[in-house]
Amino acid sequence: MKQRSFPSLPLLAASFLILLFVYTACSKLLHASQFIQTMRLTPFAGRFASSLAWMVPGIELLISMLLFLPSTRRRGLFYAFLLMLSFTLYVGAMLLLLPNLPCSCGGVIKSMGWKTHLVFNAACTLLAWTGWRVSSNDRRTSNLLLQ
Amino acid sequence: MKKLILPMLAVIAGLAFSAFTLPQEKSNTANGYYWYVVQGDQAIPEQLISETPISREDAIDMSPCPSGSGDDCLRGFSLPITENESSSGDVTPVKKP
Repeated sequence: MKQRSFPSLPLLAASFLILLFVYTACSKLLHASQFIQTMRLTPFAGRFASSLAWMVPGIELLISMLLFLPSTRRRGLFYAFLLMLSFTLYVGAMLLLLPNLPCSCGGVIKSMGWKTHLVFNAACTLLAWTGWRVSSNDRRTSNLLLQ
Repeated sequence: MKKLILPMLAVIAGLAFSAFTLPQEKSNTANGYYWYVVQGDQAIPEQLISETPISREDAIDMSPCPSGSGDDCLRGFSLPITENESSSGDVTPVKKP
């Protein structure tokens, strides 16, 4: 009897994060001038707004490429975790310090309030971390089986 | 190959979603203004309410005005301002109730 196989958690996590990063990066690039304008308003990024406006979507697309290829997926999940963690800390800081400022996020994500955005980012950070841990454990198990 | 199908679908969906959200945001630009909170007698660039142009009603919802003397509370501009602006803007300002 043919056994039906379900996609693994790292594959599902990687696919969701690819969707998220490609969507937000393209939205930021399509609205680059608006994105730069909003970045200028934020106290942490003001001086480096133009550089960051290209760097952030660039990093998102780079991590998407790592997540896409099976050979680099585990590393991609780790970098996605670090990126989402930094976004979560940024949103947390904005929520505490400047809740009235608009979000310099991509696509429909900027229409979320700061609190919803914080919860969403925290969930994505957890997803990336879980995917990375599971794929690390899978790798360790297969290494032990090979020995 | 099987391991690439789901990520490939994710890339296609990401590109498609970002393309489809573009016209909606463009239509907002035609109807709305960039709204700024007024401090003293000036609209302050750092006090932009929304990075995309929005209607007067949405601006009031997003930044409710404190009660006051009937002074300007929010001013709307067709284009984003970069310096403190003392003019009343491109649309009737929202007054403090």
